[in-house]
Amino acid sequence: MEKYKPIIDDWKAFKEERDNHPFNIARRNDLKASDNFKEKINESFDVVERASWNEKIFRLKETETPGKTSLHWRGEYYVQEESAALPVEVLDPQPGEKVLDMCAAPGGKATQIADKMNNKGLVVANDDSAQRMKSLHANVYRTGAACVTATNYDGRQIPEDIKYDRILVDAPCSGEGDRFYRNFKPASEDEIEGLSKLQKQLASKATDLLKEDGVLVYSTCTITPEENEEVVKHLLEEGLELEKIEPGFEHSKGVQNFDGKNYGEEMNKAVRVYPHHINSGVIFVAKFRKSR
Amino acid sequence: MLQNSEKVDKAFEYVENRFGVEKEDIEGLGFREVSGDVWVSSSEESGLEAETYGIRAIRFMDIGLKPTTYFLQLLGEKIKHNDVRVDEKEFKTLLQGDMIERKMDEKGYVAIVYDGRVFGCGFYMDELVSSRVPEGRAKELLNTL
Repeated sequence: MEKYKPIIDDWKAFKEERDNHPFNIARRNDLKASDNFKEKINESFDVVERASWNEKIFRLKETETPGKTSLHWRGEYYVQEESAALPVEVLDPQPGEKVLDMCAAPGGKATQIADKMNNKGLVVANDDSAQRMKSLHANVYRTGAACVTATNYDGRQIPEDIKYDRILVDAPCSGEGDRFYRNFKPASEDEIEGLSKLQKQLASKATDLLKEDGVLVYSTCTITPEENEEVVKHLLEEGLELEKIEPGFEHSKGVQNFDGKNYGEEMNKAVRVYPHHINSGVIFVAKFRKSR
Repeated sequence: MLQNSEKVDKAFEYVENRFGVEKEDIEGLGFREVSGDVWVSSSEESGLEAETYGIRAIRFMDIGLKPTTYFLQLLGEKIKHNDVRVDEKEFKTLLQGDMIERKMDEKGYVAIVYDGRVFGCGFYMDELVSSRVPEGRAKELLNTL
């Protein structure tokens, strides 16, 4: 991970965080949650803390079994890392819209989208892995996300019969957020190169599927700029406009230069979240609009 | 409603008669026939070849119509009748596959309500209620109580 030292805002804090695993959060699912959810989640766990930036996020600080409650069984909440809730907040889907989650399994973000739309409209949750579709289905059923239509296309081959108001490309990535905790080593150059190519293809396809004035959010859980800012630059070259993100919690801005490559000043509109920011996993998020 | 079909109409009629839930209570969602059952889904068409369209709501079986546990959970507080409120002991009894006593008007499927929440489907007959929550999921739920 040393190679990323120049782009980490607080290297010491970043490095120290590797022994401090991120806590799980319960993201309240209002398609299922009852009025007394807050009271019940507090009864279920010893330490529950609310996130200031998102009223639906309840930090479960001292549990190893966050999903072992009747509330979870009933789909009243979804267990994830806190930073993983950011892309959909940035996407900001509205009831009645048509929204595509291009790489959706296991369904955390697709079900979050359905919740934000109050099950009104259409959410196409796509994933190219037949195996991972099973977990997507299970989470859709459990959370009551009835407006979700689940499809199994290679994201690059999704038919263009309809255009979408908003598209989330939470792209397959080298997962350096996980590697951070696992062995503190970056992904190999070969892997990064292959994924960066795939990510650009997915992002280009998403651009074609987007309505005019539509919103596209691109996210990964990896650190390398080749899978993040380089894909953003690619989308800017395709004519999308980058919009500034204000997540409401500590974060870093997108990287302008790395390893001899210049991505441009505009990258400061994108967001990088590192483990030491909110004791959560790595995430990169960029928001685009397709001009009329 | 997304799709007009005899089965969709029958499903609506069943849900209204059995649980007192009317069409307007399920505003914004559509219903469609998939593989012989009725699913609750988006009211919009995707035009895509899909694996699933929302959530299976009503099964059409030889013996009649049966609501799924997921669908009853989604209806939740909109259910006005044929809900069976149980205490923790009764809830565990049901989830273990045993029956509890009740006196109700009519034989048929019921919504099992515990701690103010609809947890799933049950069946009432001859003054006894049994669970229709699938066995594996019932076991998972039991482990959380």
